[in-house]
Amino acid sequence: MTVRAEKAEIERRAWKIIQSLEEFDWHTLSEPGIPEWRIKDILRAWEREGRIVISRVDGRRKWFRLPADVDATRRAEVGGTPHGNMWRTIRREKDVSALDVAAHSTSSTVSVTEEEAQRYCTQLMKAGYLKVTVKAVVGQRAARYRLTDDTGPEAPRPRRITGIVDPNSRTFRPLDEALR
Amino acid sequence: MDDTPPTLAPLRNVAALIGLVDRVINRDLGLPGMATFHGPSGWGKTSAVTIAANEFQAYSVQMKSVWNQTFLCRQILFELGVKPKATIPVMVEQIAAQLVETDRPLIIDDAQYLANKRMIDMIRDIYESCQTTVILVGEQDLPQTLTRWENVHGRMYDWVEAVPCDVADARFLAGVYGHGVTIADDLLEKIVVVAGGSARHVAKNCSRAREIALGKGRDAIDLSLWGKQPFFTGDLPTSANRASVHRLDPAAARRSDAAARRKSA
Repeated sequence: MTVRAEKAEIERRAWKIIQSLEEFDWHTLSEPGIPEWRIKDILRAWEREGRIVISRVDGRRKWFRLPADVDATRRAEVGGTPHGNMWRTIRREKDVSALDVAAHSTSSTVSVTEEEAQRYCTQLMKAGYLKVTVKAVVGQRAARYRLTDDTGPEAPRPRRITGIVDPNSRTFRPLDEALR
Repeated sequence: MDDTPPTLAPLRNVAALIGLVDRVINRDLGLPGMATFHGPSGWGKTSAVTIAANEFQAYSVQMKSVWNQTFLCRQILFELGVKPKATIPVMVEQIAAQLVETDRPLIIDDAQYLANKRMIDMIRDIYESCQTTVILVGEQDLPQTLTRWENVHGRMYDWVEAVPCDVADARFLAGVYGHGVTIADDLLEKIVVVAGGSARHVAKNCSRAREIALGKGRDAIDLSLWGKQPFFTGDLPTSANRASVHRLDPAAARRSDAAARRKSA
């Protein structure tokens, strides 16, 4: 392993460890075979980049923590959300039914029923993200949808008030009154 | 509509890919962090990638044959939600920085299209810069292709081969895509044979079986109730299932009929 790769590997492991910690210092991240200066270097670089902040200074020892806003967002992202998984499925699978969306989006931490997937597909379709490729036959066949507007990796989220907010393009698309 | 969340996680290929990603993420210090998942087209690799991406919140990119280095970098950065800079070296650093920060795996689907030295070296550079899990998913001969580049081949943690859809997988797919209808073993076995290992074709036939049963007001279907309905095999329409040709192009069907009459005369 090259020096650069070794540094990246140590950085990756350290970053993973601190995700679940309220507070940490270089001792927390020390491992056999990894020199003290390398961990201190990494912590200094993270502090410079604003990825961690000093929480307190105990004598000559600095304690760090993740910034409050990043911390909350990152922890919410770890397991995924129903909308996030459904949007990823729709983007990847191209031509889908609500059942396809639900079956591909359910994971060990996220549950999506066919009914929830159907509601999301209908909302996206009304907002112009999906078009119907196969019409439903009541009691026999489900509708199939195709993505027509792939705005990015973040899921457009339905809002109860009036429509859909897309964080990718920072746009808002109103829904019809009947769909609210 | 069923209110139980359907899942495809128990399918053998899905379980294999999820297991592979999990092993690479939790590898010991010093072990390589790249891996491949390969197999013939239609065996459910892309579907497995979607489910694994949802399981691990992974970044996934589906390669196309016409992509070059710049376009691949831009697509990966698009998936990472980062605005791309102008040059390839800077974009590689942007990708690596974001992967280190999020520590989420990167899955490259249809990785057989990476198979030229500059593209594959770029993926290796990204991996070397961040050491985050990178999974290459591609067609049957992907491992053989990668052996041409020792510096990439040596960074592979594991090589996992996709398996064809069998009766156990089909029974599981029948529970999801044929829900509310019992598909008898004789029909299921026939579906597995005609699908030729393709999970996609099995799912489509199970869905069709459900439609046929519900259309006839039944809650179970076997081979005799399926009757002479054509199976979905992914093959082009032939004279045996000309009904679909008729619907698509009646003029072509008339010409084909005339040719058949001339031949028999």
